[in-house]
Amino acid sequence: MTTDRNTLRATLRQKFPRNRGQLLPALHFLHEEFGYLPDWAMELTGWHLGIPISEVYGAATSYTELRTVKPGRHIVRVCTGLSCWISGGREILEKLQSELRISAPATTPDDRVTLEEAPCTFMCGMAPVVELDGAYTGRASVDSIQGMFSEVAGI
Amino acid sequence: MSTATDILSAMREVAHTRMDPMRRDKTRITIQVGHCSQSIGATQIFFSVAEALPANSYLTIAGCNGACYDGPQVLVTNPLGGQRLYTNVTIAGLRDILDEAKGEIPGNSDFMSNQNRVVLQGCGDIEATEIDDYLARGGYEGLAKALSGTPEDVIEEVRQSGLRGRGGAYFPAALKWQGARAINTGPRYLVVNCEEGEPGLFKDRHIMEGLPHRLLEGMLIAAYAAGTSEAYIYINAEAELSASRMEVAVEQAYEQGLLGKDILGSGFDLEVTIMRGAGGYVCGEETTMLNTMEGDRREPRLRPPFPTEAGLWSRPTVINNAETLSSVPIIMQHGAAAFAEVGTDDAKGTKIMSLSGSVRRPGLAEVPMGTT
Repeated sequence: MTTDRNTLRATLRQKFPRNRGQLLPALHFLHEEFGYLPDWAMELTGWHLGIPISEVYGAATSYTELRTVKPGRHIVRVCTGLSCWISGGREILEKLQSELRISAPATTPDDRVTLEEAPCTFMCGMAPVVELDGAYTGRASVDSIQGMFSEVAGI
Repeated sequence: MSTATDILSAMREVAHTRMDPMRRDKTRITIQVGHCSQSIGATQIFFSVAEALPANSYLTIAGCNGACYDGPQVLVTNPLGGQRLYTNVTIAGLRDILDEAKGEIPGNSDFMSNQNRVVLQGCGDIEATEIDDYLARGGYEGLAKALSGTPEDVIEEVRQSGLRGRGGAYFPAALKWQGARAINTGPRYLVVNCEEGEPGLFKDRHIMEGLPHRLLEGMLIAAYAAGTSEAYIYINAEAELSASRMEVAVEQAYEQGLLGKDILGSGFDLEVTIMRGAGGYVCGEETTMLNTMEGDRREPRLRPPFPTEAGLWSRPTVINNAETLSSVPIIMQHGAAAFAEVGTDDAKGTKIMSLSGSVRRPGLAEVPMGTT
């Protein structure tokens, strides 16, 4: 895990040629490395690629899949694409919101769970879909996800 | 016979010698593992079968066949070619399949028989993770044919087929290639649009997962026709499995000499890079996609100029949808006339429909254009 500036600077130098087209791949790399885009890391990336930091931030915040706020230890995403929404995704989201006492997108005060809506996970044939820490569950229901979440979310 | 076809047949022979010793006279068990079926346990089924593989059989991974409502599915092919599809497979029910004693006859097969599978032909059966199987079944023949003629021949053949862009705008594919080709300053680029941002659509993802090499073949033919030597495959941020299947396919194509320099001895070069989007419907809009590739905000550009005139880095850029490109090998292999047999007067060929929501059988169906 890259935690200090010097390591990140070296990694960026090694992985990404200095041209503007590398910005999105570099942002993906940061996102995978940290789980979100820390300000200082975006700043280093801008310096490395020769892109003004304001533009790095501007590009980064225009993507729905990139977080700029640190998420909780577990990430739960409920697909609320059309097919999932009408097949029960809405009930699942409401249930999770009321159990966690937060309104998506948000993180519980103890930093345990981040709850997000996914605009569409493109698994519409398996609607409704819920994602927990990168693993998807299709044909989900309020009942079927209960066990899955009781462990991580304490609900 | 031209050199490209010769080299390809030699390649196919080698593919057979690699595969056959391990597989001849054995039963093939194919697990249909896609992004969707993974969410209902297909990966676990794969590992369970791998642990208890019956004697005289071998295991392969394919994409799904599009019958999402029946997943996870396992396809068993006996050495004589007879096939049986097991649907809604569970780990508990695996024993029966492996014993091949009490397996159920696949239900709802009219879902398949009512379709006209051209682009998706073989999806769910052809190995998704190995190039050999695709080669052995006539893969890259369309490319060899294309490379045996001139780029103008390819454009003419595709023009006659009446192929239109399957991304939604239905712009004639051949015209796009011709437009980029007409601009006489290099470099030109080809971008494969796999950023399927519309909620409810999952056909491009399905093609990448099940038939990555058919898409690569179509991309190669398009690049040859448009005169580009650099291609980008732009894949949706959510489509993790598609991206990894495409990465594997690209790697295998490079190893075989189907990408890189002097492809099939024709003197045609193509380098491919895979790019990932980062969410949002608008990313699939072509000028937005170009902006994101250039490190700008995820916003559309004003047009004109159109990408074929000034696209990526202001160079002529052809942007084709994954489904469009996957139709191209079939046109080259079987001819424009065969492709244009189905469809309506001004919209030829087939279209893959994504079915989901309040329907009894969600999944993917490929039907002639104009089907209502």
